[in-house]
Amino acid sequence: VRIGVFGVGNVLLGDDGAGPSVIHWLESHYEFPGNVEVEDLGTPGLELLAHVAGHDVVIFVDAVAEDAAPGTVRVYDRDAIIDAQPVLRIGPHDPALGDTLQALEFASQGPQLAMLVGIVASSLTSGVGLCREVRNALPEAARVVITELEKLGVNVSDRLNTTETPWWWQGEETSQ
Amino acid sequence: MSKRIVIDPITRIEGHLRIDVDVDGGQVNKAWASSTMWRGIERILVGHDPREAWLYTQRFCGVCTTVHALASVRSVENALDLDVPLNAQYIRNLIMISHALHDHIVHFYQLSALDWVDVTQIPKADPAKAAAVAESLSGWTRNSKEEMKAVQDKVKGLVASGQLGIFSHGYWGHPAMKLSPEVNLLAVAHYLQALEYQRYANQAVAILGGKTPHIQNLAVGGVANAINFDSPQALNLDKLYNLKGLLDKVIPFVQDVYFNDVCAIASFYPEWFSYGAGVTNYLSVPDLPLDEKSTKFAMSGGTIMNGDFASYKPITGPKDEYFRKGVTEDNTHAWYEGSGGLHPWEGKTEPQFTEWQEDAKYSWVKAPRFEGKPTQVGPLANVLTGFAAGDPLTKKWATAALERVAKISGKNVTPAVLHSTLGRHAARAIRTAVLADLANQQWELLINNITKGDTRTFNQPTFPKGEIEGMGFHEAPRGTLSHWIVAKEGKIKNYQAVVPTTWNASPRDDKGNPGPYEASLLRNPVADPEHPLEVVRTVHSFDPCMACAVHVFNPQGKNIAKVKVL
Repeated sequence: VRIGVFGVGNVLLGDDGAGPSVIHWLESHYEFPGNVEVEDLGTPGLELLAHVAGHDVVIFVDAVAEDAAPGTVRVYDRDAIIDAQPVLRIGPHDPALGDTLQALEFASQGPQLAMLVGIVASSLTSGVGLCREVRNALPEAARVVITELEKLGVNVSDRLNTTETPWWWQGEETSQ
Repeated sequence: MSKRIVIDPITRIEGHLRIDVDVDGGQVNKAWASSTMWRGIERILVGHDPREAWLYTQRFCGVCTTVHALASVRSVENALDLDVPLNAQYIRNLIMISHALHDHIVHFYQLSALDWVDVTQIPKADPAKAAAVAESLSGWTRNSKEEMKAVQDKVKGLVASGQLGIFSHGYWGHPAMKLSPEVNLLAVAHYLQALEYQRYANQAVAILGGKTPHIQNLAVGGVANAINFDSPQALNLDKLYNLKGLLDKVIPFVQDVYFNDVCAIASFYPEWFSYGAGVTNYLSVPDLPLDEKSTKFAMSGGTIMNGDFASYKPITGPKDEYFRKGVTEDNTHAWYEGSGGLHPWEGKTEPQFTEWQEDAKYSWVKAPRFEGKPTQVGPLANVLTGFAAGDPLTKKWATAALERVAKISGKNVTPAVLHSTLGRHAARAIRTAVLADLANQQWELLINNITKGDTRTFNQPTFPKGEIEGMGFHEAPRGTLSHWIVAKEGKIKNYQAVVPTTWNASPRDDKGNPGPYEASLLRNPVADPEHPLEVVRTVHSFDPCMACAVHVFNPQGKNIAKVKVL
């Protein structure tokens, strides 16, 4: 079983960096078996096709715009991802999570299982760094991903030495 | 009475491209292009080490990652007058070509083709006839009757289920759809194959760049790849032949399939060679450097003004003052302080948001101008300037495209038809075919240079005291990209990226001249204001990439308006 855990979002736009930050958290706290790819994909749009194809299971991690407190973690299934796509596309960007899944399904190359672990965002303005609520939610979002992987029978182990080197984009917390 | 149509596909907290058109008598008589999103990412770079800027700039946009990384390191090398070793030039060139092949294939099949292809006509097609049409176009081996039948069955299943899935947002049955059922079938068969071939192009980028979408191997002064044929970790023969294997799969797909599909589709829509010209001042920059000082290039660049080939003026390289002095950005109609053209090194990005005001400020995109004039960039500019410069590969593929369209449509087709909506698609296919030939050339240059014993990939940069200025450009998939840097004592003082979509989606300027999107929409037909397929066709032909930014998933996205007729 090939599994992809993909963080999406723009680390230069405040809380939109939640997805890549969860990936960083996962990589520094856990070890994954060889069939699990854990990747920060940035804001790939339809370029997602190249990364999602060939996986049996895909777990996206992304900032979400929901009517809930910033930092709330929610899980969305495949249908919710597809329902949320724009009705009319102008550019190649529109989140394209749903487009990617549907295009690959039509080509019989899609994952059998797809879900999205979302963190409710607060501020998406230009700047590096997450707000306190989203930053504090990273471990919970990471645990949700681990729980989903364990349900699939994946053996994830804790890293003996947590290597929490900050990534280049991780600036100071922004004040809210 | 004119009718205002607003196309505003806001899908998240902040939107991106909004198009407003006034339609009168079935055609557009006024148009505005507006970005509804703040683009001030460059300000984050101030105070950082110029050697690290590329790590940030490749996060500007998820579709155009590598191009912003490359333009950034080039701008710093230019400021330092730093040479780049030959191997590094070739490795970068191969990354850029592979990225462009991937990008153009995805753009055409996944984003644009469905503006012209009507999936709902496919059940009526005769698979044998579709295979015969395909075989008349090229020797591609995956065009058999059986393959066509299998795709038709897939589509029939989708149509019968009532759930069109990936095809649910098309304008099916629109009167402007004109392909025969067989050509519709052929296009969707290749849409499916494109999903497979784009992956090979992406893998080619990853072999050289370490990974995608954010490559790891760039450095100011070269690349971080170590070349050693005896080391499994380094760039060795295995990896180079792996790369060649991937290119050998992608190149025929580009030249036998994508190129021919565009010609075939164009032949059914000859009227679209007469809509959408807009601004016919064109700009492209030379790229794929062939020497350490970046003075010789595999692709030429320059300008053409007023659509006149005789006006062609070359841009010889990043040191050419014609380009360096020609670029300004104007904020008269953009939501920033100030008006009048400013050179990027003096550029200011201080927001001044107002409401959307058609006679005042209405966009977050600035208005770049070349020598004060609105200017179109992109594959069309690239092909036209290459043609005017006498570039043999551009001539070869441009001539092939025009001859092919003439043959299928039975109409006389001259290079002048390229100034159009369909011309932009044709030019993108021509450019992709040229790049496919250049991929082989660059691969051979790299391997020959290494075999000669040169394994250098990096020159160490040193920063002088005081202030330095630099400019790095790249002829990216969407057109001319330039990064402009001012650094002082090893820290960034000002940074401006003038991106292709800014040139094309620019608002009006201080003289009231509209940008390329706006001008191209004038006199576009609109058969049904509720379903402005024709407007979308012209906008898509530019391959817009506005949302170099937010990627928030919005579970309520579907409820937000898409097209409003006022």
